[in-house]
Amino acid sequence: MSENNWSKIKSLFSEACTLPQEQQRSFIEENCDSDLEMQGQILALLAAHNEATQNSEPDQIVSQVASTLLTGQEDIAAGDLIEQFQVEGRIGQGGMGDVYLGKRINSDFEQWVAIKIIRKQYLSPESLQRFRQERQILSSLNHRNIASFIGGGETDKGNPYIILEYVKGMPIDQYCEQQALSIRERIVLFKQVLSAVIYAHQNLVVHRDIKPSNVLVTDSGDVKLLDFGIAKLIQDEDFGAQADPQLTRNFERVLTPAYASPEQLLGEPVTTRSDVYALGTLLMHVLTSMPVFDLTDSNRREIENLVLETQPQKPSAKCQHSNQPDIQGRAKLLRGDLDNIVLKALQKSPERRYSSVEQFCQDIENYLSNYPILAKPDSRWYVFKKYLQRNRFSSAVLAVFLLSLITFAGVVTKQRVLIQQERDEAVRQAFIAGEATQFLERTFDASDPNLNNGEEVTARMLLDTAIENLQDLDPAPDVKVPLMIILARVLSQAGEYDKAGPLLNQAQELINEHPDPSAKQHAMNQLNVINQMATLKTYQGQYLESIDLHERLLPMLQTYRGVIAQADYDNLFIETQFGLGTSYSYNEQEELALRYFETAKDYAETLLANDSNELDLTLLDLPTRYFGYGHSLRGTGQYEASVEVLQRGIELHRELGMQPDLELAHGLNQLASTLLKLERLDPALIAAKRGLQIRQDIYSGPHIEIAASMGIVANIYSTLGQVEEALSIRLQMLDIVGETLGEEHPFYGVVLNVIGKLNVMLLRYDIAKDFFTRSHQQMQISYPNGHANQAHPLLGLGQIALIEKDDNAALKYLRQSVEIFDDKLQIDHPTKARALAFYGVALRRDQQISAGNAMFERGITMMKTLYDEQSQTYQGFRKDIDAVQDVVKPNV
Amino acid sequence: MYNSMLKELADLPPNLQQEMLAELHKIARAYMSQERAAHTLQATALVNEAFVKLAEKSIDVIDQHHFLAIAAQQMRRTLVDYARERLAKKRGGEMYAVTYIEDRISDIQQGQQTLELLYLDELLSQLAQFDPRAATIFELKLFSSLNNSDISAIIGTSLATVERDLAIARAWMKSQLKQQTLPPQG
Repeated sequence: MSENNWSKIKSLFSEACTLPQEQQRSFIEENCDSDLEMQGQILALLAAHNEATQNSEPDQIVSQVASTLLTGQEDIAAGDLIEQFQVEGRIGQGGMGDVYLGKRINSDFEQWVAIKIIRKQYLSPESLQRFRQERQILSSLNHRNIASFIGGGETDKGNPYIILEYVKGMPIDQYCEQQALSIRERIVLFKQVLSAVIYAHQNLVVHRDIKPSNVLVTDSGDVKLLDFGIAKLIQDEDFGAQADPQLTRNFERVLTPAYASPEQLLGEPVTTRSDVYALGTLLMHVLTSMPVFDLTDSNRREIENLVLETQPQKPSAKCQHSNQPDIQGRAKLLRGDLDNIVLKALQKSPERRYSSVEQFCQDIENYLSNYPILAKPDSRWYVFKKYLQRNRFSSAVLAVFLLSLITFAGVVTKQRVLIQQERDEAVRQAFIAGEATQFLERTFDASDPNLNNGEEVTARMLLDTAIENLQDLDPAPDVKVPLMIILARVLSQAGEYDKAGPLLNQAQELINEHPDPSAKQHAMNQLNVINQMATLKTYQGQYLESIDLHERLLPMLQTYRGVIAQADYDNLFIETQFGLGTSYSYNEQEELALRYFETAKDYAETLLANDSNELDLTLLDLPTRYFGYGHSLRGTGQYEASVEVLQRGIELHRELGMQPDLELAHGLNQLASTLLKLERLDPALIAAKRGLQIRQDIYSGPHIEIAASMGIVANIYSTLGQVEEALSIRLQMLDIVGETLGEEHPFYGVVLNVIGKLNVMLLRYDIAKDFFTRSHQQMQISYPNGHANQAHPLLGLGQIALIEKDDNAALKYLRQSVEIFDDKLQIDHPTKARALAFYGVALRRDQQISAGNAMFERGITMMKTLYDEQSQTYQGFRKDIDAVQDVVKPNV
Repeated sequence: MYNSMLKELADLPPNLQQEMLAELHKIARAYMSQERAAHTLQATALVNEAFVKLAEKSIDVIDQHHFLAIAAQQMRRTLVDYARERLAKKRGGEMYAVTYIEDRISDIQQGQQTLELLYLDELLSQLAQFDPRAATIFELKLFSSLNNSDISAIIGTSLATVERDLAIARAWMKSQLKQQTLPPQG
């Protein structure tokens, strides 16, 4: 290495360095005279100077070696003995500690093991204890694709260690490259990893640190996963007060950030879905030969930003951008299904990933066997279509929503053509049509897989998008209010009352801000908002408010009669009458309800007979009218008439060629209820079950109408004496009511009461008392002004007190119950009859014989007017009464 | 100035190396709990901290800058010894090539860099033969955390000179490392 002209070289180099790069060469050539050797030397120096190298900067070399020196604490040395293994030497090192190769001594068979020493600095005394417990769990993992756990302990210096099967293999990513595997072969190999992780998850072990260097492939092509659950051994699981935050931080830093899930980086709880994410990063690496994110030279903040915020590229796009032709060639094969599978596993939010590794694996198998995959949207409508196939709830709700929107946009567009002569109006209408169409398109975009990352579109997502888009619309009520009403209607049907209510209030405000009493659109907006508000109140169980709103609507309808179209008037008139009937009926004012239902039905039939133009619209709603009417007929005790009307409604539904829908389910439920009253139990059960089936088919999640159907099925079962079946259905129903309506809804208290009653039938009095007490409490909340329903749980508590001979309690409960019934339910009712009879028994036990006898007689007489003495209901009633008539014999 | 530094180095108490190593380990552990282990430890930062601690203890050393310069040489020696030892072990232990390791890529790089450190040490010695000032400045730059103006103060040259020397020393080193014609000394 002769550097003869060093001082000359040095000065020329230094001078050249001050010049722009492109001038350096000519500068050197000019100044080196003819000394080509020196010229070459300087140019080489300049090249080295200008070149930014990744790993061979001298500073970096020093840093790396220093780092190895400083962190590589030699805890054990070759020749040391750990359990029955002799240490052969160190084979690896990392953040957590070093790995040594060990060989079994004094044995007939050769066994190589990897001994992993954990650095003490990651362990608190508590986690050391944990470490010992966890070792037990890990030792139970036994799977051909998992490196077996052999044992563990602590070294003389107190550093914990674990002994694992020594795997001679190559990391999966290197193996794929070395063997130049095809995409399909890579996936088949990856499936072995999945199978190991599925097995571990079934054994309640989460890996937490899946990455290529932990996934080795042996010469025979078998995958072996290393370090299962090791990460957990050094992690304080309880993030509570006793966990050492410093240790937790230490641990996070040990994680390999390129493969750690967002929740792991955030220190949030780790679940099996964290492994789903890591498997996604691994699959990405295996398929594209690149990690999800290039984290070279990134600091912690940059890494966090990438992992937490940045959407990963599709595998196909990654390959496309590669400068290696063989990787570029993969893009075509990855596009579509595999892109979607990888991205689904890599979702930032755990809920959006595959819910389990099994599901992940299923999708991989679907792909390999050319079945459609879960995560795949193959066209703009793919998700939509899939959703419609799988979930008829959305199809029903969305169909209403989308049809309404399209119709609306269409109507507005048509109007524009009709009134073209009025130029200003035409411009305005054109604007409206444009707004509506745009709104529609943007809402549809939510179902476009290109814009939503291939996520599944749910009806709720579309509705949420629609609500958002609404805010961007021109505030003039022409467009906005009708859309708001449509949306509120769909939201109400979907049970999203909390979203529907504010939307309607907003619509009302908009209408008030732009008064225009002579305009047809204004009138329609006004009427529709109130109608929809009233309907929402019914859904929410606020019947009196619903009645109030409906009654406000009737005079308004008369006021606007000349302004709005006759067809709109007819339709709203029927809806209002029907709405009043429904609300009164739910409020147990059946006589009033009947009147409104009859009016609605008669009006509809008149229209049907007179005006063929409006036929379609009316026909569609007619079965519903019959069902409401039948309901009220039953409520007023006209059972045979009710059956007849309901059957006509169901018949009509079929004749009109309608598919089984929610209305039909409603009708079937009504029919089942009436048949139950008539004690025609077998046909009742058939109708009720059909109704329940239709509702379950249509609704994806818990819905109040499913609960309603369940209620009837349960009723029939309990009447049939199949009490356990009834109880099981009622308990499911209670959950659904709680989830959909909330515990403060009257229905919740009612269901609690019924469960109490079923437990009485099963002689489980303590449980029954519990449910009755809860029911009573809920009823107090649900009906602050008192209601007959409050008497029911008191009756139940009274009956049990009688059975248990707690006479004072019985007297108290039953007196309250009868008082409420007398105050709030002035008609003959079977439950009231029971309360009277039981109260009579309680009075007699209290030696108030004559008052007791009178009360008892009242009850018996009331029951006899309601039911035939031979009926099952009456017989059941007698049986219950006789069971507590131990003091005085019945005197009937 | 330069000569007096060399003299001081020769007078370095024999126990200093051990003490320094102990200090380095302690600080390294502290660093491990603050910085990402997966990322390169800033050896120079460590060195600086260790030296400051030692300087507090060593009353014999009057000028802290000088002490840091001496310690940089010691650091170089320590690292080179360590690299030799590691390389020797590697040659002895055949099983090193197996892949059961936690951080495979960085380990391969480390293996490579262990070797490169030995080249680097050798190249520094060569450079010292025809440009001792540049070699000293570069050594200080690599094995301590001194900044360029600190170095200029110790060496007693202008900042511009330090920067020029560093630039050519680094460029020369890189061009030589790339050729990798030197056999490692061992």
